[in-house]
Amino acid sequence: MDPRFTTTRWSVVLSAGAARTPASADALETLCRAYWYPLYAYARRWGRSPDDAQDVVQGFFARLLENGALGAADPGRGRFRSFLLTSFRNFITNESARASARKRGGGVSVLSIDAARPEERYALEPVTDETPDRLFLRSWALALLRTVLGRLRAAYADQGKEALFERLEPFIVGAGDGSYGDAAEATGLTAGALRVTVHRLRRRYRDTLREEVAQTLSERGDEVPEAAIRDEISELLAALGGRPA
Amino acid sequence: MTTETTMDTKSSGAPTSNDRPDVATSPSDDRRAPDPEAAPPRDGEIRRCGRCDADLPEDGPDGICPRCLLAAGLDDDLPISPGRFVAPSVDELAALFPQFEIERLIGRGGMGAVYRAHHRKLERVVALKILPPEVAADPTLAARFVRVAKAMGRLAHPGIATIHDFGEAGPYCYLVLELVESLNLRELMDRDLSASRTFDIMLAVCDALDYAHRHDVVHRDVKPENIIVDDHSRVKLVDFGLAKILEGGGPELTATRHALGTPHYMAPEQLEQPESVDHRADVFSVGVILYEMLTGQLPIGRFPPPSRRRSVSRRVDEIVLRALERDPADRWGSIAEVRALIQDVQDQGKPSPWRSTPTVDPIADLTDEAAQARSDRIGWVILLTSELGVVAFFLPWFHGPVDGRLAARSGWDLDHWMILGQALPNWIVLLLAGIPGGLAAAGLRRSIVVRWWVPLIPSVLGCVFVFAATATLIGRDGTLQVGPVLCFACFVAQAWAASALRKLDLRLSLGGLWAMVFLFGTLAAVAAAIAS
Repeated sequence: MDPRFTTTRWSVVLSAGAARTPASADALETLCRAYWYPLYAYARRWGRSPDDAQDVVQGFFARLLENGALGAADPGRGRFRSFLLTSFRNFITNESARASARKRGGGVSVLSIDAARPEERYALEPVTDETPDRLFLRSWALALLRTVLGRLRAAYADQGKEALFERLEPFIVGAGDGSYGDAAEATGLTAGALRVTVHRLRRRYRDTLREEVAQTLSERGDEVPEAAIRDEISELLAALGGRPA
Repeated sequence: MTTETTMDTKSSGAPTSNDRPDVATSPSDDRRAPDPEAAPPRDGEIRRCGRCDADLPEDGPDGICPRCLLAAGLDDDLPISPGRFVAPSVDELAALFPQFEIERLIGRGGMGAVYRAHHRKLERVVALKILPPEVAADPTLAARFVRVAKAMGRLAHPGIATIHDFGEAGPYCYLVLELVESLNLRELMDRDLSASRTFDIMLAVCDALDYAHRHDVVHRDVKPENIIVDDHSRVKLVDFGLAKILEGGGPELTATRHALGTPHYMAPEQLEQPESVDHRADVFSVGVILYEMLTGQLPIGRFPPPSRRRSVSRRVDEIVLRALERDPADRWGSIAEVRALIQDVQDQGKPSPWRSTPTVDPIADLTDEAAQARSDRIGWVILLTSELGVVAFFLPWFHGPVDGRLAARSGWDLDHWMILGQALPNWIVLLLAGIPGGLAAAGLRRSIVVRWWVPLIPSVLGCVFVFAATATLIGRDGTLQVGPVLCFACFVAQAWAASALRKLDLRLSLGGLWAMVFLFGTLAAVAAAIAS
């Protein structure tokens, strides 16, 4: 892993600022694509109807992607996650913005949210008294992990090893020694080779995760420090609740 | 490593709009192997992760516990380069080290693996540290290893783990070290440490570092895991200078080390210009640890000064913030300087009677006990001396001949005044004075915390009554003028003694006790006067 993430997507977006470049637009869109669902869940938890939530998310992204709306982004903040939630919060509490959301979002689909059937996913959210903010964080963590696993899978698939990935994916979190035997049999690898493969997978997973996290962070003209990445991961980990791992 | 994992971020991380990002993997179409340790899902039952016991969310990624997934991203023990350094098994080592009986692996980190081993001939239990095989393989690193090991050998300090031997065995460079089996500072920090204990520990760390720096050895990797602390706040630093071996050992090894290690405690120049690192890098690490010990958090990003998060002196802020300066030239010049400043704060932090919050944990540790016993002894000596002084001052009136003329002239004079004195034998007075102090010292010391002004009331009242009582007498007979002065001096001494006894409690009210004695004495005198 190269620990230096100098130009992360978020830093590209931030450094472009109001003067948008194709690269910054692309970076912003990529980020939005990965993390739109947490916003949807947030809006739903605030009591928006499914349609309304979709509209408001679409409207928000339309505004964000069309005119940048990054004047308010404080580069010092360094986190896309904070920026996104804060701007979205402002957006939905601002009545006029909401009206314009209806106007824009009604017609324009910036992201193909409809195809993704967000409501099916939202139906799976635990019915708890979780606050919108907490749900946002939790959804964010899950969206991040999906992106990471998706990238890993794609990388293995590129090498024609998707089946291997499917089989070994659960080992990322460190399976007990007993299950190595079955997996070795299933993959046709020797126990030693399997171990090495699993190690490699775990390492790649970890590096990809850290890189994906780094993509949402930015240090002013500086590389994102390892510590910031760890902090972000820890925060998301805390948001997932449960007993400490 | 870089080439293997760095993918085109734009294409791989950005699915096109028609491949339905994220959402594609709903549990219903998840045909992947289930998490081998998770309980099999049953309808209507909440699934739990077999590892962390957290509820598995239904929309979790690929059915794997998201908590464990995230935690895996934080796992520093994960061997990053399995082809190169996986901690060797006990059996493998046993073949390489016939002189040792290798017991078990006791630690693993960026710098290698540590085993508990029994030296067969010396019959001594030692720590056997195995470095990654790259070190032995690379002549530059191997030479550096020898230099570092020799430098460690020159260090003989109770705060530094001793090196017994070093060398090469098979593919590994190894060190035989003093085995220190106690909690490390990381484990200790999980408990709440008092500010006083924190300073004690950091003073000991500074002692060891200062010693090493004076011998031109920089630790370079001071972090809580490398500080072993025993019950008496004695510390042992381990892994002295080892970081230097891997520094500049090629980009891969450095990256490995940084990825494995904990960069939070490293000074910026250690990452940026490892060749320019000097003792001030350790100053930085000490700053980070001190901050973390006091606040429970790492000084990352925009962090508040320690005093904003914990009731410590502003001077601590200065110590920490200056230690954490990015530019080494702006930091404290030496560990000795830091040590002196911490010592200052520690001394200042010793309790004063005007502090309502105790600076020391109610559940004091042994070191605090020793300091407590010392200040207790001083306190008691002064307290008893002052009590004796008061009693001695009045003794002549207790036993001396009463001035007949004064007695005859009015009811205000000495024999009435001394009714109390005569009624109460001196030893009772002495006992009365001692009882509250004794009680306080015995049991109340650790449980009573009084607002600073509470003990002032009886003390002030005491002084007022002493003055009032004696002033009455001054008009009659000039000889008593020294009385108030001496009494006042005694009260001051008592207050001081109480502060030396470290906690605010009943002892300060000894002034109040005397006030009561004088109050009743005066009342008795007045009553006698009226009666006559």
